Amino acid sequence: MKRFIIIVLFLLNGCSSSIETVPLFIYDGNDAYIKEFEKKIQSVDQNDFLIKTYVSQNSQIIQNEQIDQAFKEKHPLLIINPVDRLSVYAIIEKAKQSNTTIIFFNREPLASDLAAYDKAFYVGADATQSAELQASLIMDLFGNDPKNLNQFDKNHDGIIQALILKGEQGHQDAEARTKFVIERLTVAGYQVEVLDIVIANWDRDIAYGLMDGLLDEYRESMELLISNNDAMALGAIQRMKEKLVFEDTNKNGTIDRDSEPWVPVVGIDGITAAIDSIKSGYLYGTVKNDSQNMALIIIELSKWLLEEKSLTDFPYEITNGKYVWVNYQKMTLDE
Amino acid sequence: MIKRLNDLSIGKSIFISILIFTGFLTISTILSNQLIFDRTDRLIESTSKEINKQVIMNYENYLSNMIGISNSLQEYIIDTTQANDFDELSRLFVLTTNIEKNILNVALISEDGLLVASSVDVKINPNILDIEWFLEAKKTPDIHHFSGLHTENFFMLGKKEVFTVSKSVQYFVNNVSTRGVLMIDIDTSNFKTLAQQTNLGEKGHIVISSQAEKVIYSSDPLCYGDDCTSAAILKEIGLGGRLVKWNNLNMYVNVNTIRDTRWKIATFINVNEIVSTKADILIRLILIFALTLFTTSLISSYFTRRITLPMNTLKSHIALIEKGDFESRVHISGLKEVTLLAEAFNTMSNRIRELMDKVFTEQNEKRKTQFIALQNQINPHFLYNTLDSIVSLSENNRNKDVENAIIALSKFFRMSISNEMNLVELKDEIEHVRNYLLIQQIRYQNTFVFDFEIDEEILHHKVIKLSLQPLVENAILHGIHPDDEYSTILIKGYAKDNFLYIEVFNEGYGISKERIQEIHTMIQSNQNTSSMGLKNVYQRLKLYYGDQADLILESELDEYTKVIMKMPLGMEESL
Repeated sequence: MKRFIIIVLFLLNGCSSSIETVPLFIYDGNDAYIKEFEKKIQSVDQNDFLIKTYVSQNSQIIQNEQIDQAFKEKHPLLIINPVDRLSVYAIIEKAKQSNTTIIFFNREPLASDLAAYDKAFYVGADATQSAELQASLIMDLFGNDPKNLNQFDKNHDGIIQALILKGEQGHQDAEARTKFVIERLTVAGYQVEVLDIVIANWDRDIAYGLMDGLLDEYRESMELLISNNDAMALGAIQRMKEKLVFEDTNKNGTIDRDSEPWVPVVGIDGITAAIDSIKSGYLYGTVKNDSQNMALIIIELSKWLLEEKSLTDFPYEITNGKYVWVNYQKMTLDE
Repeated sequence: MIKRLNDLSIGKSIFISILIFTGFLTISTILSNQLIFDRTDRLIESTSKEINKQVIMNYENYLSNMIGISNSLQEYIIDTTQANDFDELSRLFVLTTNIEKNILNVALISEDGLLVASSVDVKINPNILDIEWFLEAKKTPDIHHFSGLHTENFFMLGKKEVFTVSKSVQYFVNNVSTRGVLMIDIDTSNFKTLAQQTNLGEKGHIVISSQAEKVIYSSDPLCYGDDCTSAAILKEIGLGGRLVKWNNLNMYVNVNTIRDTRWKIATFINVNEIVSTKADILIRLILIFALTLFTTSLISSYFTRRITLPMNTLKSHIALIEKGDFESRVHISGLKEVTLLAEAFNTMSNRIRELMDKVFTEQNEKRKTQFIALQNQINPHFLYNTLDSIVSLSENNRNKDVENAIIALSKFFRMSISNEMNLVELKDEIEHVRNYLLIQQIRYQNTFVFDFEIDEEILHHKVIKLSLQPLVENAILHGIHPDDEYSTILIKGYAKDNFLYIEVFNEGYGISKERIQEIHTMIQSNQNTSSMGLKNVYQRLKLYYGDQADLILESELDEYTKVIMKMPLGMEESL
């Protein structure tokens, strides 16, 4: 009998505790980018731990409940894509009490919150860098000589007339991208005239709808359309195609920017639809937010943290002991 | 283990049974209560979480509405200042306060503390640069800052209680981008009524605290300042829900963050009734259990005593019997089974005593018989007379007769003296009697003849040793008369109707009926009489075989006398 009990206990033990479970919280299941991101994290080839995904339905209350439950279950590590980056401080305080390690991703907590706990990390891309690369794409387009712009300076006045599609008023990334893209160009010596900044809330349909008014006013003067993300850029292109700002005159399915009507549009994110659009010649370029690489880094960092290895030998650069920045990549027809 | 169980006393067995039964009952009740309590707990938790969600959503909607207004205003600020139209901006601010009644003041203040545009025509507070909401907005420019509750303070001598939403914004002065702080003062009355829209139960309340754990607002009028109990509970929980004691009331407290702010909100929901009901049920259950256990123990010990007490009396009585006292009787009152047992026991000890008496008498009689037989047989006269007869035979040179006589005498004594068994086969007894008769024949000089008529089949039946000889002796004594020649002694043995009969028949004067009656009475009585032989045989027959055996005398005057020994067949084994 005793032996039997021991065997049963052994079996139970063997079933339950041999492998660690790491909870993964994503802010919303309706966000295509985040859903794709979650899949990439889940599909990284590794046998060190299980990942269990919790979807927070874009509600910080729900996420707080889920995280509170995870704390009660005493997981050593949580991977969190927060709903509200301002609420993160409460999670960090709670993690401190139970000495739980947290990796945040995609939505960057306030620097002061993250600095308050040495076991809180952030894996993400720097919004400033995306703006820098977007600026670099624009410089490539105009010939990389601020004093002597090429044929895309349609009116040959040496100034780039630009329209900006802004993500969301007050949104950290939208503000940063909008601000730094112009700043970079200016610093590099380019003269940029911002014709208008319109807010389209990261949304393809809103951008599509806004284009009518913008084209009425700026159709002739506009030399460049800068978008905070790909979705808005694609919405704008769609409307401009209908308004024949883009026209595939020879009907070969692609746009030849030298011979057919075309306006340069740059986006950020590198979603599949944007890459397709680049291939067919409509979208000039985008800056790829490398979620594949980010997923790999999140898994690698999780392994190191679970094994409590020193991060000094971590294969990716760690800034301030807690940030792993994943580089954006420029994507155009040429690159 | 089982052996140990079998060894238990009645009292212990009953007690253990009750213990096991109560144990099972307790465990099952505890388990089912656990289930009910768990469900109740979960119900409390989920219900209060739902209520909590409701409260938070009210606040989040309210505050996100303010953020939305602020975001729209930021767009207008860029547009109007790019157009250098600051009057238009002020008009927009006024319009905003008109449309949104909760908003009391809107103002744009430059980073160095000058009023750029305002919905009210006031002079700016000279200490504006030191005001917390202004500093915070400048410190973290990318978020909205929500101040605590205070009286209007971006200008001097404000009166109304407000909280301020402040945000660092971009605007243009002469087409040059610069930064300032947009501030919106919001009336607190609406903010406060939000807390009352949801029923939190009696004394249920909310507490809102800033990131620095300063109490911004509490709907509990007793919670003033930062060191009230509720604030301490909020701080302790940090995030999540838990049941707590608050001023001796059971409250389910949920601590959460409010989206887009740095605020935490704790909802205190009164669940006292449910929790105290739970405790009530628990106490009652324990009471009922204790009472049940107590009564059952009491009743069981009562019954145990009713069984074990008489048992113990019986036990001590048995000890008396062990010591040989068969006279005392048990007197037990109590359960029916026990009194029956006691009665049976009394009957049994009676019976034992009777049997023992019987055995005692029997032994006595046997000893007497043997003594008498021995006495008779080693009677010196008998020996004398026999030896005399042998001598006279020898004188007459009847050597063959001498030889026969001596052989008979020798066999006779061997049988008489051998003292092995109480029972002998009939043929041995017959042989013994034959020797006796042979000797007597010599003594009485052939004045009688004898004969045996014994059925072959009964020769091997057992009979009481030395039972036949006294009868034959009697027959010689009373049936031989020296005058008569050749009187006959006939010994018959046969079986009939499950009885073994042995008759000793002699010719002679016979005995009168009165005398037979007399002899019968005599041999059945306990008095010592002269006719010890018959009496002794009679007594032994009765002792060995019981009432069925008998000794019967029959006689006809001047004809014959017959003594019949009647013994039941098939009783040898039990003897």
